[in-house]
Parts: sequence; C-alpha cells; structure tokens
Amino acid sequence: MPSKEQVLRLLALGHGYGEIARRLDVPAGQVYLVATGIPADGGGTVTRAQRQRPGMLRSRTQRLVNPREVNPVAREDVHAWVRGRARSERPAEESR
Amino acid sequence: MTMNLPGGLGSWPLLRQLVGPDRSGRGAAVRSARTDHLRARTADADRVVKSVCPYCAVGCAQNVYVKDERVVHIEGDPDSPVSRGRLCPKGAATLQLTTGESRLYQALYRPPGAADWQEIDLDTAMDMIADRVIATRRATWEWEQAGKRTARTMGIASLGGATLDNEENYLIKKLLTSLGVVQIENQARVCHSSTVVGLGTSFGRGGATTFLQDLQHSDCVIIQGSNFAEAHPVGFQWVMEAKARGAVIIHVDPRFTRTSALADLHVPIRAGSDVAFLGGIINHVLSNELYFREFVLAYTNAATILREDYRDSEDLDGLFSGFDPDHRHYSSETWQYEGMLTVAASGQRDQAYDSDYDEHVAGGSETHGAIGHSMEGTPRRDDTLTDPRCVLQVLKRHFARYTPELVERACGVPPELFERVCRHLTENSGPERTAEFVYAVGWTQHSDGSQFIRAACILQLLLGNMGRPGGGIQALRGHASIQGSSDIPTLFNLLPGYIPMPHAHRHETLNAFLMADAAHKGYWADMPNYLVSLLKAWWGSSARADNDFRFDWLPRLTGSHSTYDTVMAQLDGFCKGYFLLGENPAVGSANAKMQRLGMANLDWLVVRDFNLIESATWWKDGPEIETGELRTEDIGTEVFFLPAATHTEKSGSFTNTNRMLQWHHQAVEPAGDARSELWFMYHLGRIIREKLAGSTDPMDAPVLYLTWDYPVEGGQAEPVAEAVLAEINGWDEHGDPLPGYAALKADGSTSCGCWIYCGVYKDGVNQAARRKPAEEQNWIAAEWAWAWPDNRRLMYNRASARPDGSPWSERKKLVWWDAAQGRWTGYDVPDFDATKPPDYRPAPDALGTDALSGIDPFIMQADGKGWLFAPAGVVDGPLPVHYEPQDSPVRNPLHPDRQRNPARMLFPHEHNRANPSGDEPGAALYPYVVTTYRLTEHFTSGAMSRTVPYLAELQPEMFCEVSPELAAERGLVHGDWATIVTARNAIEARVLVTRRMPALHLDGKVVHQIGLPFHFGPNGLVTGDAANELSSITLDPNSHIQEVKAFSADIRPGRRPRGPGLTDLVRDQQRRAGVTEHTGMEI
Amino acid sequence: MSVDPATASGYTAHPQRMGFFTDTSVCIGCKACEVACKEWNAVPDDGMTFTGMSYDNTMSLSADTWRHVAFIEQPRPLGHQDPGVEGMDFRWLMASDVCKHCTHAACLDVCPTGSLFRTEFGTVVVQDDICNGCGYCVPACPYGVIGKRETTGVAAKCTLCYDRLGVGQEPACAKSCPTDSIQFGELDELRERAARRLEQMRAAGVDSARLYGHDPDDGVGGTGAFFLLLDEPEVYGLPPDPVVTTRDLPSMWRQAGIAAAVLLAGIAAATWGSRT
Repeated sequence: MPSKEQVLRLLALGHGYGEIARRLDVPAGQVYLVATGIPADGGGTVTRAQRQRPGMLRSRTQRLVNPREVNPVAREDVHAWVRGRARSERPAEESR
Repeated sequence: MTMNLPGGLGSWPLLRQLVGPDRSGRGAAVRSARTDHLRARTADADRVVKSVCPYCAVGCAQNVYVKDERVVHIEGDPDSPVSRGRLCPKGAATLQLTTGESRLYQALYRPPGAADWQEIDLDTAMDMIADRVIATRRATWEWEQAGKRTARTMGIASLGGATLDNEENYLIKKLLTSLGVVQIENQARVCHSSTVVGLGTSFGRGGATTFLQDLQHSDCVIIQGSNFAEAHPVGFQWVMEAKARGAVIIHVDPRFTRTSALADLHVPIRAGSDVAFLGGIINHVLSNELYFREFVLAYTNAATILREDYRDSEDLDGLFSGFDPDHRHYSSETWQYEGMLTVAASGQRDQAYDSDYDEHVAGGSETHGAIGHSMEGTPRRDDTLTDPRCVLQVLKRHFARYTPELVERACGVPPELFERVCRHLTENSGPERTAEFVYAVGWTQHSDGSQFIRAACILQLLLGNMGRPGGGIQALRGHASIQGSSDIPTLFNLLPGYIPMPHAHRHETLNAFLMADAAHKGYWADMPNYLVSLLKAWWGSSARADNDFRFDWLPRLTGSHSTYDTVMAQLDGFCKGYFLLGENPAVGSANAKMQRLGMANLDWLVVRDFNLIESATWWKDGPEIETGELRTEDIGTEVFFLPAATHTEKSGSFTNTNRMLQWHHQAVEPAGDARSELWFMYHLGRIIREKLAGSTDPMDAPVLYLTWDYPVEGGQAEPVAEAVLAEINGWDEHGDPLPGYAALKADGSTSCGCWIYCGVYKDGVNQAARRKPAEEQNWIAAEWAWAWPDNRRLMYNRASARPDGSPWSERKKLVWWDAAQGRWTGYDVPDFDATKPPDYRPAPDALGTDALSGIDPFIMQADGKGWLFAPAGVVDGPLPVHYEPQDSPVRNPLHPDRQRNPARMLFPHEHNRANPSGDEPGAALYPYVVTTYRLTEHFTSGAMSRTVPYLAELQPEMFCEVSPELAAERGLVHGDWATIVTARNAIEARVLVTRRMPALHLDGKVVHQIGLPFHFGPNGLVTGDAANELSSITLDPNSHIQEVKAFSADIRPGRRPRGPGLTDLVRDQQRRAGVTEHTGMEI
Repeated sequence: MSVDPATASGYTAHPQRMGFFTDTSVCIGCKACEVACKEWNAVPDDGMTFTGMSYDNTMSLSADTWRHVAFIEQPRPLGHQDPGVEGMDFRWLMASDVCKHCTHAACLDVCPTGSLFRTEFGTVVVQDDICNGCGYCVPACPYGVIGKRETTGVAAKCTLCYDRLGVGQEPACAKSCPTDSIQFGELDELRERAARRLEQMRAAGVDSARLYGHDPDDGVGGTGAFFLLLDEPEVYGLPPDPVVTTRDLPSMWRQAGIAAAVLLAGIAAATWGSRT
C-alpha cells in the first residue's frame, strides 16, 4: 500500500499524479489523498496552511477521480438554427 | 498481498497470516480478492454529467455518474461556489428519486365516471389532449368583455412549474398565451409572489438582492420568516461562515427550530405579527436618529415631498387616503410625489385592471401618465429632511406608535429582548459594518405579505445596508427554478422579464400600453425595446411595426386570474380544462378541499408528474370520497396522467434563489412514456397547429403564426433545449446572439424571449453551463454560470460606494469609481452604467437612462432611489401597517377597529369560511394560532419526498408541535393523536409536545401556537392529512398569495372522524362559533 | 502510547491513518449524512416509524443505519446562546453518530472468519463475501454499532467508505454535510483541529464541550471517528467509558490457563499422591 512518504518522494522527483498512480498501481485520486491528506473531491474548505502542503493542487482535483466529464457549452447546430430563424424573421417583404 | 505460490495458494489467508507480517490475521492477511479489487462506481462510470439539484432554490451542483446508460450515482460537485460539493438529505436522495421504484413510466387515462385508470398509448393521449384543447378553446372563446377586446379563453388553465426548466416554462407560456389562455400559474404564485412586489417596488427588481456566499461578509444576520437551516441547509453553510467570523446570528421565529439551535439569539414571535416587529425597529431607528444619514439622503426617497392631500393610516384609523369601500381597493393618486405621477418598477404597474376600476379613478385610464401629467422634471426634495411632508417625516409619524410596548402586545416579544435585537442590528450597520435580512415564506404568505417585505426594505434602506457586501435582503425561494418560473414566467399577470400582461382597455394599442406603463426615466424607459423584441421572438416575420408587432395577439386580462381565481372559475363551471405540470395543489395550495372540488367540476385534467400525486387521484380515493361529499362514479372529469422525465433525463436551465441560471445536461434518456415538459409542450403545440392548419378563423392566427420550429433530436424527438435558450437570449438581424439587454431595439431588428436573461447566450456560449471552479475565482465567482441582470451578483452595488464614488469603508468595499479609467470597477460587475461618473447630474429634460444621475443606485426605479415610501406599485398602502391575519385569536392592538387588511382579497364561498377573530363572538372556538412550515427531510407537497424511502423514513408521520402548557390545557398526549379544526376542515396529526414551542404572553393573555408541517397527503410511502385542508383562500391583493403562515384553529386530543363524521365535526364547530358567510368579510 | 493499527495489522507500508472528526457544535440535524451514506452503500431503508423522540425517527445505528443523528432537547443553556424565552434555559443538541473504527476493535478481535479486517487506512471493514453471519461481533461492540442484516444474514456497518478512499474520495457523509460537521482527513490533523475547536468553544462559554474518542489512552485506544460533544456522552446515548470488550481476553486466557494448570496439578497430585 502506498505510504505518504513514498508518494511525497515521488512528487519531489517531479512526477505527476498520473505517473505515480501508474507506478504504484493505485488510482490517481488515492495518490492525491495519501500525499496531501485532502480528498480529491473535497470542495473549497482548504485552509491557507493546507494549501502550502507539497502535492496540493489548486483546483479541479475531482478530475483525478472522475471519468470523462460531460459539460458542452456551445453547439454549432444551434448557432445555425439561430441564423436561420433570424433570416426568416425579417419582415415578409424583405425576405422575399 | 498474495505471495508467489502456485495454484493461488499464496492468497490463502491462513498461510498469509502464518508467514506474512500480519500475525494476528486481522489486517493484511485476511483481505479477500474482492476487497483488493474494490472500485468506487464513481471512478468506474463511463461519464460524469454536470447537473443541478432539482429540489430547493439553493441550486447545489450535482455530478451525475452514468454507466451502461444508467445513472448509477449522484453526488455534489465540489467545484460549485455555492454548495462546495455538499447536498442536504433531499439532494443526497436524488438517485433514489430519479431511479427508484416510485416512478411511473406508463401513460394512464381515466374516462369520465370510471372507477380506475387504464393504460393508454402516449401518442393517442397527446392526440386526445390536443383535441380537447381545441374543442374547449373554441367552446369558451371570448373576443371581448364589456366592449373591450380580450381575445382569449377562460376555459383552460395551467398550473406548474417551479421545478421545471426555464426553457419549459418558456414554451408553456408561449404556446398557451398564443392559444389565448391567460390562467397560467405556478408555485411562484403561492410562494414568493409577494417578494416580486415587496422587493420590486422598493428597489426596482423583485428578486433577492444578494447571493448566498456573500453572507460570510455579514456582521449580523437576522433570519426571520425563514427557517434557513431546515429549508436551505446547504445555503446555511454561509451563515456558519459568518458566525465563525464573529457575526451575530438572530433567528426570529414562532418556534425554536434547527436554525435557532445554531443562532446566537432566538426571538419567539407570534406568527403573523412581523410588521409590528419590524415597524418597532424602524421606529427605534428613526426616533433615535440611528439611520445612516448620508446613505439615506443620497440613495433613498427620504427627502422627496409628498402631496398635501396624502392621509396616512395613522390619520384614518388603519386606512390610507384613497380607499374605495365599494370595491375594496385604493387609488394611489394621493400617495404620489408632489406634482408628479410615478410608475412603479414592479407590482401593479398597469393599474386599471378591473373593468369598472378605471371608471372610478379620476380621469379614467388616462391617469397613468399618458395625457395631462408631466413625468419630466425631478421631484421636489427637502435635503434637511425636516419638511413635514417629506418622506422621512411621514415615516416617523407613521411608525411613531410602534413602540416596544406595542411590539410586546402584538408579537409577544418582551421589550428587553426586542431592544437587544435593535442594538445588534444598529450596531452592525453603517459605513464599517453591514447587516443582512434573510426571509422566506414566513413573510410572503400573508394577506399583507408584500408589506412584511416592504417593512424590511424600509429598514435596510434606513440602515444603509442595501447594495453592500454582507448586507441586502436575501429572499430564500424554495424550488429549483422558481425564480425562473417568475422571470420567464408561467404567471398570469406577467410576460417574460416582468413586463406586465396587458389589461383590456378601450383602444388599447402598443403605444398606449407603453406610454401608460413604461417609466420615462430609468431602465424601464426602454420597455419598448424589451416588449417588441419579445413579440418578434414569438411571432417572427409576422410581427411588424405596421401591426403593432402583433401586440393585439396577446390575450387580455380583466382582473385577477390567479390560481385561486381559477379554482373559483372551476367551481363555477367556467374553467373546463386544466394542466398540472409538476405541481400538486390538492396538498400544496390553500384550501385543499376547494382545489379538489374545483377539479371535480372539470371536463378534463392533464397531470404530469413522476408518480400518482394526490392531484391525480382525488377522484378515486381522495378525502371527499372518504367523507362521501363526492362519489367516483359521479365525477365526470377525464384525467390523463403522463409520466414526467426527471432533471437527469433532460437538458435545461434552473434559476436559483440568487437569480443565477445553471444549466443541467441530460445524462440519460427517459424510459417508457416518460418525457420532459419541453417535449410535451413542443409536440402538443405541433399537433394543435397541424390540426388547425389552414384555418382562417382569426382566433387561430396567433398559434398558427407562432414561431414553433425548434430542432429535435434523438429517437424521442426531444427538442434541443439550447435552441430555446438561444431564443430566450435573443439575436440580432444577422442571427448573432445578443450580448445584453442594452442591445435590444424597438424597431423589430432584435428578437428576445426574456430581456432580463439577455446575455445568457452571449457569443453563442451557454453561459449558464460555465463551471469555472470556485477555487479559481473570488467569492463572487462570476464565471460560474450566469446571473441576471448582466451577470451582476450583488444588486444595487453602486450603493456600496459613497456619493463621490469612493467606498464607504475599506472593510466593506465592493464597487467604486476609478477616475483615472473613467469607469466603475471592483469585485462585482457594477450594477450601474459603467462609465457614468458619480457627479453626473441629468439635464432637466433628460429621458430614459440619461435621466438617472451618478447617485441613483436603484436604476430600475423611475427616480433611481430606494423607496422608503412607495407612491405606486403596492395596492394596499405606501407603507406597511400592522393588520391581523384573516383568522386570528388576537384583536389588533394597533387598530382595534381595523382588524384585518382592508384591501385583502376575499373569496366568499361555503367551503372558504373564516374563523371569527379577535373579540368577535365565537373566536374562542378557534383560540390558537397555527403556523405551517417545512421540514428538512421533506419537500413541499411531498411528491418528491414521501415517495422516496430514504427521505420518508426520516419523517414518517404528520405531526403537530405544541407547548407543554397547551398540551396540558387541551389534554394532548405526546406521541398520541390530536385533531385540529378550522372553519374549513379538520385534520389529525401525531402530537409532539416540546419546549421549542413557547407560549407567548401578549396583551394580557397567553397565546398558544400550533405548528404544522405542510408536506403530508394521502398518497405515497408515508401518508397523513394535509395541513392545507385547514387553510383558507384569503389573498394579499398585490401578489394574490394565500395566507397559510398564520391562521387560527382549535385542537383536541384523539383521531378525527372518518366518513361523513368529518364534515359533521367541521360544521358543528362552525355552528357553535356562529360562523356565517359574513364572518371575516368586513373591511 | 498510541498504536498504529494498520502497522499492527501487517501493513508494512500504508497511508496515514484516516478518520472522522464530528464537530457536533455545528450540526444542523439535517440528516444528509444518513441519506448520503445509504445511497452510496445501498443500505436499505430502516422502517417508517414515528418515535416522537424529538426529530429522531432513526433511533440507533444498526446494520441498516450507519449514520444516525441524535436530537436532544434540554433545559440547559448553551454558552451565551439565548433561546429568548424569559426564565427558560433551553438548547437543542444534534449529533451524527457513526462507527468509531476503534484502535482496539472488539468486533475485529472476535471475528472468527477474518471477514472483519483492518484496512491500510486504519479503518475496520466487513468483507461481506466472507462473513458467515455468526453474529459474534454484534455483542462485542461496546457502542452497539454493528448489526446483522436480516435480508442477507451478514454483518454490516460503516466502512468509512473504503471504496471511495481507494479512489481518493472522502466518505459520502463527510462530502454531503452542509455545515462541515463531519470532517474527514488524517487522524493526527483532525485531533489537532479538534483541540483548537474545543478551546474556541470553551472560550465562547460552552463549558460542557468536550472531546470524545480522541484519547489514545482510553479503553479502546482512541477511535478513528471521534467527536466534539456538548454534554456527557450518556446524553447522546454513548457509553461514558467504553472499553474494548476483548481487552481482558489475554488475561482471561492466562487466568484460565493458570486455573487449568492448577487443576491439572491438583489432579496429578491426587493421582500420584495416592500411589505413593
């Protein structure tokens, strides 16, 4: 099982969490938890002192746990539809 | 842990124990292979979809985990600046809500008179519903009323929904309005409609003025008319942050609740007496000159001079000048600023809403500024604040009798305790410190609910807390998108963006409407831009300048058409068809019996929900079937039950209590017949248009020419919600999404479905879907989702700076003027013209936004000021007055001869009798004050909690909370049963005797209160009687909201009768109390 | 002298000991913890029973309840809090109880099959693929935490969300808790935080505030889930001085051994004595 010392050593050598996870054959989120004592899905209650710990990431640590995230913010088909609507909305005389 | 031995021997625990380091055999040695290969299903899922909780209006972000096209887990999204990954018990139960066994997936149909449901094919049901809409509409169509064009049907109504997406509410309002339906309502009516009036008339916009995270900056938080920790637990974390920083937390509430348990000070108060309490604080502030003078002078209408013929309620024993006793309402003419006619930013803006009202107002409907009255020039002011007719002096006189002694007599709050609240509040207000009020339906749901809120607005303006960090007024709304269902809205009296629905007038044209209604100053002066753009969005190329952009295709109002008016119309046989879209009035609306009796009179009813709610099954096994008042075989109502999709099964946006729109993405498709409301409304509209195609009847033109061409996708032909969002945002003639409402025009070149949401699709990006983590932003987190207006988070924030533009203090700086850059800057988006300098003063003839000066923070108000005194917009008085609730065992101590709100809306009906009150004969038969409330574990009418095992088991029975003294007085036994009786009905509940319900001493006697959760009903896993069986339909005249937070009742031990015995009990009590049709009806 | 349970259980390398600090002074009694736990762990609902015990219809920890919120209404003041009723002292205590994940865990000691085991995080977990339902663990627990599930016949209790820890997530209850009453992290750090919080509470005039389960010298060697309480443990339904029920087992065996030896010696003396 990975120990804190072990993980911090690997971090100090410049390895990222993904790489350490592969080496130790444990999930990346667990490596983060073991290294920092902070869960990868904790939200915003980290103190300033805790932020100074080695291995802390500032944000988005939940990505070390989660699978592919789905949150599209723009759809080209909607843009095209909007343009079509705007064209059709011009007064009847104009659109002929 | 396995050792390298052949044949799996190395994994044998015994061997591992003997040979390995774990000699005790309790750790490493005994791990099974399954244990070693354990994987959390969050990490193992195929994808995680970003979503938002569907319960309350805090809007906690949710991660929805999908595996093999099934939702396998839902938990909080830690990136959210509002929730920080947390969820209350309801949010935590979302998986069970959306995937559990209580959901139905089969469309059902009940023929007239049938004893039971039968299954029906979904497409057949849609076709039948479309036919009924068309037929009922045709049979009940009305072109005009009393000579005025109405172009509508009063035969169809719709209710719901505050937990629906904005896009869904938009299509509901759009389609039904084009069909001529005006009775379109939702939970917002019965929940926070008073907020729109109270906050809107005082400040300019009818929504919470701040955002939850900002609570952390407050020095004093007063939670009143709200049980914050129980109803909005995750939002309450921000109160705890404030507390951790040393803020004083005060909870004013009839009961000692879970909020009180974490507060520094609890103030027990008689339910319904908050105006007296707040008025007392106002008096304290004014008499002791504790108001923030510089703020008040610059940013409020304190210095404005009122008309000479204004008479206050102190002059006329509880009435203001201008009361018409025949029609029971006021003319606001004498309340105006001297020499001007002012139009309110909110509330009743198009005043002539009654067909005979405008005959009685001097000058008829033209009074409202179109002809004869100048609205230019500035109101006369006295900056010394000494003129007896200036607002501040009028306020002083008005509140002079709200002494600590009166507070004790009216509220039951001893003077010493009251004075402590005053001290905490005033000591924490001023340039260096701010205090915040948090309220919810404990304030809104009264027959003078708008005035409760007005009182708090007055106080926060006097103390200079508006527009400042840690200040303001937090209105805690209760449903996932109830702010949205008010903004968009599915409300009878509003069009999207709080534009009023037009009332029937003679010769009502677009221009006349705009002249009557748009203020000539302030941002409402741009109303033509907003309305024309809306009409373009709805009627596209058919809407042109030469036909008033089809303004006359909007059906007209002729009075109040609220949900309660609809119930009366159903009882009277005028309203034949009804849609219930995620709302359950048989439990959640006042006077539950009348809701059901109304539905029993319908020709047809369509219910869309997750399971068979009480409003879908009343004909089969509702309370009236049990009492014999109704018989199933005699009920001719056709009922359709269509299963609804949950929020994980559709995409759309919710608007939370802080005006923030958050997008939730579809994670999986709904199963069986379950569909979204977006699907339902779109296809219903499509089918109706197909059936009406080719019609030349002018009544069909609005729906045939409606823009109704949204793209659909997937095997279920689900409309693309983002396209609806794009229409709500609007576009210019080139099809470029508009960046904000300042880009809207009145010449027909822009379309916009809801001007206050303009900007949510800026640059073609779904701003509501933005999820920049909290850790990467400041506390305002402007890049998480999008808030209206224009993504400003703390409204009126110009007031966080001095008149000269510098912050009031370093500690409380938020937005300030940067002279070098020539613009306002700071932590939030300025809620102000970005480049207007603080020393700008308008020319005398300036109009529109140019008429607002550099010291007018309340930019939606015609005079740019916070209104201490409301010259318009609040129909029952420019200032709050303490009145008793409709049912009250206490005689009004302030106005003994004016017991109740003279302008309240009454609905005389045999099933809506009032309890005798005060010193009226028979009042002793209903001697206890009743208040209703939420529990954390349940949600509104229980359809989303009493059907969910994890929630149902937490609070499995209906109960009442009573003090030990009341229990002794009435012989109530803890854990046993009690029956509670009003003039409407009687219910039973388990008894919880608790010290948390203190007996109050007021006006020389002891007043007991009974507490009732309102979540229960006869359907679901856990059942009980509904508290709303007891409540009456008596409404605030501004908001048409019912009074369920304070009424009176009798209580006795034991279970209630079954069958006809129940109605006998109620009638018997009425008879002994001398209840008649005249009880409680006086002015 | 504090024992590291993971080391004692044969993990040569392992993470820091993890646990809970439940600060009941900020609990709002919402029961999010109860629901979040059940949802994550698919714990069945526990019966729809109205108890009349304040707002507590859950009553106790069991195989089907792994987080339980207690509600105690008391006629006593809470520091400087003012309930606003003249002449009345009143406070409403709320607390979320959970398995203590003891340093010396009796359930673990008595388990004959190796189903219960100590994880690398120092927590105690039931492996339900091994449990044979003997039920020895149930009376062993000094807190009455663990139970046998009727539907499956297997023992069940809080796992400190072992599977979540395995991917770096905090336990479901801790994540959900709206006011951060349930705090998860390295036990050492939690103990420091708790000590500071206790000082704060005392400074605020809450003299009855105390820590429970934090002390490595107590009868269970200190617990992996410990609490800040605002009154005596008995008020919350917790044992005031819990002792791992197997603590005396070694000495009992010794005593039994001595008794047996004495008995044998006596028999031997009687047998051979009679021969000479």
